[in-house]
Amino acid sequence: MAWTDTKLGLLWRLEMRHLLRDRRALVAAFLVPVLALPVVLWTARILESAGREQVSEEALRINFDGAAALWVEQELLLELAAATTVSDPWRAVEVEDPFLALAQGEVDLVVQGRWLGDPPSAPGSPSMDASSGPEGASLQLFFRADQGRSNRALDILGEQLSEARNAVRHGLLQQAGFDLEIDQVMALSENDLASGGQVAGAQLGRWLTLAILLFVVLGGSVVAGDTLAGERERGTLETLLTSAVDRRQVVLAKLLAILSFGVLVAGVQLLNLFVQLTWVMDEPPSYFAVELTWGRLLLLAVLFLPLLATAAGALLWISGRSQSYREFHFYLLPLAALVLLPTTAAALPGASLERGWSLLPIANLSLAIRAVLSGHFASSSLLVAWLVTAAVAAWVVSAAMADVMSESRLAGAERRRDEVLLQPFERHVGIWFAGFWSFIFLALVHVPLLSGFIPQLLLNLVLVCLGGSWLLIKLYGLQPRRTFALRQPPGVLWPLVLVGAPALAILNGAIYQWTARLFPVSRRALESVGLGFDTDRFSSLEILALVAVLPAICEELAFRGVLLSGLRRRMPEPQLCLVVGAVFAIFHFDLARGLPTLILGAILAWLTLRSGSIYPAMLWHGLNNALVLWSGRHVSSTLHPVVYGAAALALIWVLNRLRHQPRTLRGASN
Amino acid sequence: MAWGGAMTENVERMQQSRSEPTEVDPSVKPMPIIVAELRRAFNDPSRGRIWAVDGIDFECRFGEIFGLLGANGAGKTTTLRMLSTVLRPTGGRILVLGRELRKHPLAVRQNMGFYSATTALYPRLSVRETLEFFARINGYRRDRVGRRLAYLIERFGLQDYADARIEALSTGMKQKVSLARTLAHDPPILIFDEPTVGLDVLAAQDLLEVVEELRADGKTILYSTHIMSEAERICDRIAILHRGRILACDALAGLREQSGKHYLEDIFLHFVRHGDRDRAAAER
Repeated sequence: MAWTDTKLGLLWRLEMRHLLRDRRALVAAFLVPVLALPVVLWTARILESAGREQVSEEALRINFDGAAALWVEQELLLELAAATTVSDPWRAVEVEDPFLALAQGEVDLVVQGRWLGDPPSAPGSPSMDASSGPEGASLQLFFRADQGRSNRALDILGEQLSEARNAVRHGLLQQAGFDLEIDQVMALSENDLASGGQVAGAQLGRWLTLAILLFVVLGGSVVAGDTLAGERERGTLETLLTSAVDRRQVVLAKLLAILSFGVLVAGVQLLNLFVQLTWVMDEPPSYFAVELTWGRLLLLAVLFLPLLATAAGALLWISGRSQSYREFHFYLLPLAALVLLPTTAAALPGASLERGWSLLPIANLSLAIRAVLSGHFASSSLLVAWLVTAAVAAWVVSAAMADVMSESRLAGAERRRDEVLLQPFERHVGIWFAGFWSFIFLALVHVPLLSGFIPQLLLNLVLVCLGGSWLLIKLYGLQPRRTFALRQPPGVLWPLVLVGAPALAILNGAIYQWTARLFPVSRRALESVGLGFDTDRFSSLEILALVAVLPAICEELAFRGVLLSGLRRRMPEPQLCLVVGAVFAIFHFDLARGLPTLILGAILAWLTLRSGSIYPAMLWHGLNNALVLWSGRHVSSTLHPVVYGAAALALIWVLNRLRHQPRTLRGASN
Repeated sequence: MAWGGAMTENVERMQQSRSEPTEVDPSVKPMPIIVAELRRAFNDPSRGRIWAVDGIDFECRFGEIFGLLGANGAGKTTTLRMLSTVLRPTGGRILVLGRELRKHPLAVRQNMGFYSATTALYPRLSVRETLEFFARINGYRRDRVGRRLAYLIERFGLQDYADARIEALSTGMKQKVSLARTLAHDPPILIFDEPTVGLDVLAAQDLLEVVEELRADGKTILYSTHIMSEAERICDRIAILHRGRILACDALAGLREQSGKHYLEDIFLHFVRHGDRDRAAAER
């Protein structure tokens, strides 16, 4: 019996047939990948050749302003151009107002010059007197860095002026009795041993993984959204579940469909690159002119497989957890960030597989792909990287399938949230927190007294977190023990907190370094992460109390207590954790620290839901802050990649244990 | 037992041997469906643990239409979803054609066709592709699928639409395809969960006629509804389900006799009010 005649084969064919008839899937998974690369390649080529032609056809326009500048142009630059037989890429233009012309794009460069002493007596005969020869000329170049032609004019003229200056120096040396040719003095020549293809490979390798995986996630999201979330919304999932087929096969077929589209998207991209560079383009743009053979193409395809499996598993997971397309799209952006962010490792200077990066999943394969494209790689490093990410992919796929196959996910066994009758507090809690945030923001902006650390601490933690929580408890007549989850947690959670808090602090440190590049902060601020105030004024115990203990108590009561309690019946568990994490991050007023704070907040919310108690979250929060404070003083900003790998594994272990912890506080549909 | 009707020999035997795996005597032709002490709880965030189905017993006999009659939220759909193995029971047992449902879910589904307002069709498949897929996925022999499809397409008058996509069909045609899909693998047992919800009078009439024809073909049908006239018209026996419990189960004549009322609506109200009163008294 053929594979397609088995039940799994029948299900897979059904998925594929149904998806391939969806225009959105076709556009996202086939048309866009087919067209994207040729469009990019041909656009790059056209721009590159157009740039060359523009330069050669339309010479750069340079204005020489002032007697010294005109003298240098006439006596040195034109002579140099004639001597080197290089075609002159620029021409001198005269304008009335050079700076206005530069601003309006009529001139690409302005050279302003004046004599420091007397002008030279005779052209071409430099004097020994530094104040009366060409060597006495002072030149200033004015350009616009925001205009390509201006930059190019600066490069070209700068190089020519450099040569001219060397010639003048040489003349002076000869006059002084040093009978040397220029190339006899510290002769210097540049020799690039890398081929053009290797250089292009290293450049393209920085972004290729990110670009292809981006297409995979986008194309795969159309497919994944349609398979489980879409089927649930349409009602076809119920039809399938009442058929004589095993649930595992139903879910596996959906995973295979998502993976098939991922393979299709990535395969089309890689094959497109190969075909375009090998057969279609005679002269590919320099950035893309990689040396791609069938062997390397196959190796790239193998390296991409664990990445595709990870993306497919993650997409299946969020689709299985979503009741509708809308909910699926809510989870899509965080998921895309989680999968795509590590691939930017290939663009980081200094990152390479030989330096321990091979232990960081996803990031390691982006580095491996860069290494293969540049033709400089060790097979053992590639193998380790592949195995690490393949192990993570296997875990993501198996965890996703186990979760999605559960009755509550697949059959929607639990009550839907629209059946939940919300209390006034639950309806209003979001508005209250928006009000608290606005209050802090306005107070910080308008009250100069709050510029110090202690006043801010009092405002945020004592007045808003504690005071605001107390206000809501009183106003809505809530039970403090229930609202704040003041219960004894299961004992097994304490070790998880002790492992999880340092692991997350380490990883969040790396994420902060990363996001700080996107939202630049000063080096001083980067180094003082976790301190935020003058530590000399306080003893170590006072600092610990102010930075670790107080926020751990006050912020947890507000965010994992009141906010979580108010929202937990309104949305499913993952969405709930993300929202609580996002609100927690917004209250920290720090763009660069936004993502780490969001992750911390979301995990603390999950911990509270799973433990049924706020105490583990308080301990985790306090430990986190203490560790960040301590690392800011004692640890260098970047740790060895092995440490990050170990922290990632430890955190995965903790989260996995937490996942199997019975839920004590329940969300709306959980 | 929640209702006073006679429990069949099979059910009694099954309940007596609850601690052991049930094996029905092979010499006795097994009953199509036997449900005993079936329970299902849900966790509700605001109300805690709720028993949607709270210990119900009933049986479906060969060639009959057995009706589950109840208001919205009575537990009809939960019961039928457990019978179709979409939901796992919290307690109790279900036997389908003598087989324990928990142990043989695939075999049970292979002998069952499930139709409800929520079982939709794949919009981008054609009618023929839909029927072929569901016949084959439910284990219908490949070499016989062609003949089965031809029969179903003719029976439901789908000749002109056989290669049209489902998304291009009218609501009435979709309903016919959905019925054909339920019968694609020719199952001996059919479950209809509120099948006329959302249909106009004519479409509902057509569907009821099809259900009656299927009974004439010898199918065993479990039919849930909250519409009294439907149950009165087509059901051979009716179980009145309220708040997860069966309050009465008998043929219409028997229910009339037990309640002293003539119309099914009055009978239904009689049992529901008595049931509520008894429950309140028990809770006190």
